[in-house]
Amino acid sequence: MTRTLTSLAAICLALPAAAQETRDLGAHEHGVSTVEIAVENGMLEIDILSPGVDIVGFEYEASTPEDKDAVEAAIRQFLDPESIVTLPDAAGCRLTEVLAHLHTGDHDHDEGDHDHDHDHAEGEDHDHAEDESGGHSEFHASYAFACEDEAALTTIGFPFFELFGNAREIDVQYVTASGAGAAELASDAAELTLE
Amino acid sequence: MILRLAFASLMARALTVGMTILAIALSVALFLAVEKVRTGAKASFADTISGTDLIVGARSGSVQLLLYSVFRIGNATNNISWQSYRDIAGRDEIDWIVPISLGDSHRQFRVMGTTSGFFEHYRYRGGRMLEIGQGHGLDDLYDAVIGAEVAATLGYDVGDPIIVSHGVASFTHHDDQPFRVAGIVERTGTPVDRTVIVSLEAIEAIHVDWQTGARTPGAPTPVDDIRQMDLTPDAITAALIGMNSRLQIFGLQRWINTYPEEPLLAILPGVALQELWQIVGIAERALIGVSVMVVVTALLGMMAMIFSSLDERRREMAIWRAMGARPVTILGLLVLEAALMAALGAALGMVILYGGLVVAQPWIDAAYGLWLPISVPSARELVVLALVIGAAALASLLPALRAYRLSLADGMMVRT
Repeated sequence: MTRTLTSLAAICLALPAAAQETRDLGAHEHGVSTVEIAVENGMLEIDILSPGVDIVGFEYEASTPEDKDAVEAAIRQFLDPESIVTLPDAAGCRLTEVLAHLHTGDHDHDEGDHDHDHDHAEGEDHDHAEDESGGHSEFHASYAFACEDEAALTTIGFPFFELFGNAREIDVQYVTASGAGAAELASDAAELTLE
Repeated sequence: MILRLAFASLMARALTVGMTILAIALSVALFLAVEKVRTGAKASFADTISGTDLIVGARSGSVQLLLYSVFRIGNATNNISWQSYRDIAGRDEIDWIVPISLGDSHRQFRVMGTTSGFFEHYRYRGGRMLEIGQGHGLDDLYDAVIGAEVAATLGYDVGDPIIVSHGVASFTHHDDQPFRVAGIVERTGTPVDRTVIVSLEAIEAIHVDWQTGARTPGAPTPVDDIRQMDLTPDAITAALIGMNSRLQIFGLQRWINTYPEEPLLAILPGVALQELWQIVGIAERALIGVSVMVVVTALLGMMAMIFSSLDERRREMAIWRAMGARPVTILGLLVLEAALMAALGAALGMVILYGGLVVAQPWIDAAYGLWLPISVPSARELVVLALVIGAAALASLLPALRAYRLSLADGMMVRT
C-alpha cells in the first residue's frame, strides 16, 4: 500500500498594521520532492526541496535528542552532493557552493487560528500527535557546480532515493540552453535526461 | 533464386497482391501521418514562444496562463495590477519585461495591447524575430499592427481604418476612436498572425468613457483631450519576462509566486507546455492506437488474402514439392512473399505520405498554422516500417505453416 500522504498546510500571514488578513494555502505533498535545475555558461545550479517526512520521518519540531540527531544527520547527507545527485564524469563539474537547512513551517504562528488539515493514509506509523502547533517542514538544499563541458551534462542521476526510503517522487523543472522542461522521477527511474 | 520466384509469384497475381499492397500502404501512410501531425503540432506549439523565460499572470493554472497569454485560447481569470507589474519590472534580474493586455476584439480576431518591446523581444521558431513586412510599428496612439492572417482574411492594407469591439464577440464597438492599420507582420505560423496589436495606452484610451463595462452616457471625450490624458493602465493581463541569467529564473519565479500583495503566477513556458502535453497525451495515445489498429487490419487482410490464395495455389505447391522442394522452402517462399508485399506497401506508404505532404503542407500551414516539415524519415519512422514488415512476415507464418503441412497431400488429392 502506498503511504503517500497528502496534506495541506495553511499559512496565515497577518498584516497587523493594515488590519488586513491574507490567507494563502501552499501545497505540500508528502513523498514528493521538487528539484529545480538551471544551467548556463558552465554553471549548474540544483535546488532540492523535500518534505521532512520523506527525509527524517517527522515534521514536528525536533525536540528529543534522537530527533535532533536525525535532522542533523539528514542535513549532513544533504551537504554531501555526491550522495544526492550524480553528474556525468565527462562534464567535469566541480562543486562551488553547497547549502542545506531545514525550513520549519511554524514560524509566526502564535495566533493559533490557522486551519490544519491532515489527511492520513491508513497504516501511518509516524506520530503526528505533537504536530498540533507546527506546520510542515521542508529540507532545502542547493548546490552550485562549475562544469568544464556543459554539453556533456546529458543525464543527472538521483541516488537521493536510495538514501531516503520515504521519498517516492521528484518533480524536476529544468532550464538549459535548449529550453525549459519538466520531468517526474521515481525511485525506480531515478535518472533525468536533459535534451 | 527464391527471391525471384517470390517476386514472379506475386506478379502473377498482380491484382489481389496490388490491392493488398495498397491497403498496407494506406495504413502505413495514415500511421506515419498521425505521427507527423502529432510531432508537428508539438513542435509548432513549442515554436510559438522562445526566448521568453517567464510569463506572469494572475494566479490560476500554469497551462491556462500559457494558453491565454501566448495562444489566445480561453480567457484570463483576473488581471495584474499595474503596481505589481512595476514591482516585478523593478527587479534587477530582469532583462526585459513586456506587458500584454487582452480582452477586446476586432471581428473574429483578438486585440492585444502591448508595448513596442513586444516586437523587440518576442521570438518564435527558435529565435526568429517578428518582421513588419509593410508599414511600420506602433508610433501613434491609434496605430494598429495586424497579423498576416488578419490582413489576408479581412483584406486590410496599411492605412485602412479599424474599429475595435468591446470584449470578445460583442456588439458594442469603440467606434468613436477608430484605429489605423500601421503595419502588417509577416506570416509567422503563430497566434500573432491572428492578432491585432495596439499600444497599451490605446487600450486605456478606448475605455476612457467606459465605466463598469458600459459606456457612460453623454458625449464622448474628444480624441484631442484623450491624447493629453495620462493613459497609464490600472491593470494588465499578463507579462512576458526575459532574464539576465537563466540561473535566476527559478528564484524570480518563487519571488513572484509568493508575492504577498497580490496572488500572481509565474510560469516557465517550456514547463507549462510539457504539462499541457501530459493532458493531451491521452488523446494522443488514442490516435496512435487507432492508427496502429488500421495497420493491424491491413495486415490481417493480407493474411486472409494469403489463406485464400493457398487454395488456388494447391497445385502449384504440390508441383514444388514433387520437384523436390522441401516443406521449409514452401514456408520460406510464403513468408518471403508476405515480407515483400509489406515492404512494397511500406515504400508506397512513404511515397503517399511525402507526396501528400508536399501537396498539403502550404495549405495546412495557412489553415491551421501548423508547419509540417518535410524531412528525411526519422529513425523512429524507419523502426515503424521495419516493424510493419516484421509483423507481416509473422502474420504470414500462419498460412505458411498450413501450406507447410498440407502442400503435398492437399495438392495431390483430386477434389471433386
